[in-house]
Amino acid sequence: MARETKGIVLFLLYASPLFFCITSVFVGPYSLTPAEIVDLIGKRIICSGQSVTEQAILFDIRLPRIILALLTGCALSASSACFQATFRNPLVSEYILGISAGAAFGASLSIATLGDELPVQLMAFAGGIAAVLLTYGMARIRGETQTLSLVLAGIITNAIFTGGNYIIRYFAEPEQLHVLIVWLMGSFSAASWKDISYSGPFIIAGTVFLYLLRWRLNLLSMGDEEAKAFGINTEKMKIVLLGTATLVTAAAISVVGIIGWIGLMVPHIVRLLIGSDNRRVLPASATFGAALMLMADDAVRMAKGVELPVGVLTTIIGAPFFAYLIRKSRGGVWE
Amino acid sequence: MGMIQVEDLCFSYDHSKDVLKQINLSLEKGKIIVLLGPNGSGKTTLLKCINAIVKPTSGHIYVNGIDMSCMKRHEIAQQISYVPQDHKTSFPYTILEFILLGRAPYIGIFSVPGRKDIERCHEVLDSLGIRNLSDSLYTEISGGERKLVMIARALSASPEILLLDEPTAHLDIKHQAEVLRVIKTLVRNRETTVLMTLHDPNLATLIADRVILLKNGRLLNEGSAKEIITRDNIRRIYDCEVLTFAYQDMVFIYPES
Amino acid sequence: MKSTYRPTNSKMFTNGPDEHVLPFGDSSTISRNIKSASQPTVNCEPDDLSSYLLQFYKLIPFFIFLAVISSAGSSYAKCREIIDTEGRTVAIPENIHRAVVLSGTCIETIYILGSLDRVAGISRSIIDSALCNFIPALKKIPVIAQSIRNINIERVLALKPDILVTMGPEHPLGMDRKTIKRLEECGIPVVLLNLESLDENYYSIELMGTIFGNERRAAELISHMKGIIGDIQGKLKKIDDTRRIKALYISGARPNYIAGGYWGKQDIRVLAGAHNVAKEIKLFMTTVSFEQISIWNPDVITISASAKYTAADVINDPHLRHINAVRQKRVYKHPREIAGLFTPRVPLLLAWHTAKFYPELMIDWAGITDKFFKKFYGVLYHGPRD
Repeated sequence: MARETKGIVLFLLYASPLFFCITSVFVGPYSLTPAEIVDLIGKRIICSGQSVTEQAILFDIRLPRIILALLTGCALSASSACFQATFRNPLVSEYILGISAGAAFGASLSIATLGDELPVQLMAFAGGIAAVLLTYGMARIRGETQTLSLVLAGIITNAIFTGGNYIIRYFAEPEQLHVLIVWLMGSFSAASWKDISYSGPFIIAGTVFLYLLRWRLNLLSMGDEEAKAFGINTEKMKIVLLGTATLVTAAAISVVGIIGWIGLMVPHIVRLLIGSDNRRVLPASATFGAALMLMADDAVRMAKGVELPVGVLTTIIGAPFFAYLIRKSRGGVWE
Repeated sequence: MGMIQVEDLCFSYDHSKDVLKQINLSLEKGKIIVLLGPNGSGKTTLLKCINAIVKPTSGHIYVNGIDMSCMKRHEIAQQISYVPQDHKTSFPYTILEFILLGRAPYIGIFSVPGRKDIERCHEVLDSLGIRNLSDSLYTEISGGERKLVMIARALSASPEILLLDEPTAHLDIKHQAEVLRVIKTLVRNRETTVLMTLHDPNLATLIADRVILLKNGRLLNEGSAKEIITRDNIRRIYDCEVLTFAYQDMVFIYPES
Repeated sequence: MKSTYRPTNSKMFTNGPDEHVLPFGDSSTISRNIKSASQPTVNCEPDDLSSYLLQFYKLIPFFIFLAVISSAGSSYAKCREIIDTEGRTVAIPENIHRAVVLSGTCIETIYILGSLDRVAGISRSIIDSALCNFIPALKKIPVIAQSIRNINIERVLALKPDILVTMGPEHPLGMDRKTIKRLEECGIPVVLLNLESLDENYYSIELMGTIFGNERRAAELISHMKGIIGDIQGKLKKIDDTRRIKALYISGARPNYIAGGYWGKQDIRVLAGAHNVAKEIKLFMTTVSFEQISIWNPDVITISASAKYTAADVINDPHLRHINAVRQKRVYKHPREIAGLFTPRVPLLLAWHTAKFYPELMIDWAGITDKFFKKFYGVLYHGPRD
C-alpha cells in the first residue's frame, strides 16, 4: 500500500470512534428524532428543564452505554495487541492467561451466593486478577517466564477456574443460573455512569501507559534472546506490559461480562491495513476497537423487545470473519 | 576501548553438566577473532555469555575494564551488538522498522525512535548497499538479504564490539563473500572488534586475525589462523582427517576422502 | 381390591359458569384427566353369615395367589389408583409411610396436612428455600437429592420409599421422562404434581389429602384459599379496562432482567387484575434494554424475592427514574415469606399483588397473611407488612 494511502487509512482508524460515537447517539428503540436530540443536548448545556423521560433516555441510558462500549472495545483491543506482541503470536487473545475463566469464577461466586455483600463487578475483577497471578506464578522458573510456559500455565489456570465454575453452576438455582449465563455472554444493556467511573480510570490510564510503551512491543516481539541483546530487561518488561494489559482487560470484563473476538480480530485487521509496527498498531487497535465495539452494540441496541447480548453477536460474526481474514492474508504470512 | 576480557568463565544450564569450563580469553580492539569448534562445543553459549543474554555460573567478563555484572543492560547493549544465527519472524515488519530496533539501547523506555535514529539506520543501509530494501517486508526478502539486514540491525547501534553467530550459515557463495566483505570493511573503517563463530575453518583462514579452538566447553588453543589450523588440531577438534594445501601465505584444508 | 380416586368436586373442571371466575386458565388438561379415569367399582355386600363364609372359601385360592405374588415384589401390593396432574394413572399404596418429596410446593401442603412425619426424604433446594423459616421441621428430614433435576436414584432407593412426589416434564423445572421411567422400573411410584395454575393447585392439594389420609384438612385448606381468592376477584370486578394498571416483574442481578409473557398457565399479575407490559415477549425471563422499559412505562414494578437488589435500588437507578412506577415510588419487592408461585400461600401473594396494584380496594393483605399463617402453619408471619 502506498504511503499516502496508508496515512489516510491510519487517520480513518484514529477518527473512527468519534464518528461512530456521534452517529450512535441517534440509534435506539425509543424514538427520538435527530432534532429532538440536538435540542436535548443544547438544553443540557444551558441546564434548562425539559422532559424527564427523553433526558433520561439520552443521558442516562444511551450515553453511558456508548461510552462504556468505546472504553471496552479500546481496552480489549489494545491489550490484545500487547499480548500478541509479547507472545510473538498473532493468534493470541487477551484471554490467554486465563483471565476470562477467573472473572467468570468470581462472577459465579457472587451471583450464586445469596447476599448482596459481594458485588459482581468486584468479584469478577478479583477473580480475573487472581487467575493471571496464578498463571504467572506457575510459569515463573528461576526468575524468568518463557512464552511457552506462560501459554501452558494459562491453559491450566483456565481449566482450574472452569472446573470451579462447573461446581458453582451445579449447585446454583435455576434463576441464578440464567443470570450467570447472561452475564457471561457480555452485554452493555445495564451500562451506567457508575460502571464508567469504576472501569474508566483503569482503562484510560492503562491504555495510555501501553501507548507510551508501544515501541517496546516491537522489541519484545523479537523474542527473549534478541530483546536481551538489545539491552531490554525482558522479565521486567513482560511483567509491566502483561500486568497493565491484564488490569485493563479485567476492568473491562468485570463490568460488562466476557466479550470475545473483538480483541483478537482488531489488531489483525489493523495490521492488514497499516503494517505490523506497533507504534501505529497499538493506538490504531485501541481506537478502531472502540469503534467496532460501538458498532456491534448499536446493532444489538436497535432491536425492539428482547436484546441479544453483544458477546453473542461478536462471536457469531467474529469467528467466520476471522476465518476470512486468515484466508485473505494467505495464512502463511506469519509463522 | 573495544576490549573484552573473559576470566575463568563457567556456565551450565541447570547445574548438572558444564557447557563452558574455565574459559579465559581476551579480545583486542579492531581485530577479527573466530571461534572454531564442533557442534555442541559451547560456541554459541560463549557468545551469549559475552552478550549478557545468559548469566555465567562463575567467572567474570570485563568490557573495557568494567565487570559486566556491574553494568546495566542497555549500557552493555550500547557497546556490544549481537547477530544471531537464526531469526524466527512472527510479524512482517518492514526492513526499516526492523533495523530501527537496533537503536534500542539509545532510546528511552517511553520514547519512540526519532529522526536521528532513522538517519543512522539509513546510513547503515547505505553502507551495506541495501537501501532499496528499506520498505520491503522482512518476509519478502531472500535469505542472504536477511542476513545482511540482521547485520545492519546490529550495526545501527554503532557498537564497538560485534558478535556474530555463524554469519555465513545457509548462504550461497555470493552472499557469504558479501558478509565477509562487510565485516572486513567494518573492522578496517571503524576498528570494530568482531568475535564470530564459523563452521568452516577455511573461511577463518580468509578472514581471521586470531582463531580460538573450542571443544567440549574448553578452550584448547588460540593463535593466528596459520598456527592453529593444522592437520593435528583439526583431527583433535573435529575428529576428522584432512589434508592441507598452501596458497600465498594461507593454508587451506580439505577432507581426506 | 382396588378403588380409583376421583376428585369429589368435579364440577370445577368444566368450562361452565362457576362461583370461581378464572380470567385465564386452561382447564382442558384437567378435564382430560377426568375423562380418562375409570369408573369407580362397587363393593358387594353379602346378605347372611353362611354366604359370607362360603365366599370366603372361594376366595382362598385368590388369597394364595396374592400371597405368592406379593412375595415376588411389592408392586403387586398396591391398592389405590390416582391420577396426577399430567393425567397419568399411578398405583400407590393405600397408606403412605415413606414419601420422597422433591418439590417445595408439595411439601408445604403435606406439612399443613400434618403428614410431614411421613416424608422420608426431600431435596436440597427445599432446605435452601425460605420454607425453612416457618417450617423448621424440614431441616430434620434427610436430604437425598440436589434438586428435581439432579437426583441419585440409588440414594432414593436406599430410603425404600413408597412414593415419590415431584414436578413432571410438562413443567419447565420438572423431572424428565427417562428418570421417571427408571424410578418406576425400580418399583417406586412417581406422582407428578405440577402446580402451574390455581386449578392444578387445588387438585394437587385434594390429591395429597387423599394420599396422606387427611381429606378433611385438605378441604379446609382449599376452601380457605378459595375464600380469599373469591373475595379478591369479586373486588376486582370493579376495575374495568380503562383503569387497569400496567405491571412489570423484574428479577436477577440488574433491573432490566424481566419476566416475559410466558408464566406457566396463569400469570399472577394478570390474576391480580393488571396488564403485563412484557406480554409479547414469549420467554420466561430475559434481558431487555432500558429503552424498551421506557417505551413500556409500567405503573407498578414488582421485584422477585430472589433478586439481587431492593426496591430502593430500583427507585434510585438513574436508568429508570423517568418510569411511571419509579416516579410514583410504586416499586415493591415480594416478601420472602409469601413468595413462590402456586403453593398453598398463593392467595396471600395474590392479595399482596392486588393490594399493591389497586390500593383503593383496601385489601388487608397483611391481615389475611397473619390469619393464614396462624391457621395453617402455626407460626406468626414475621415478614414486612407495608
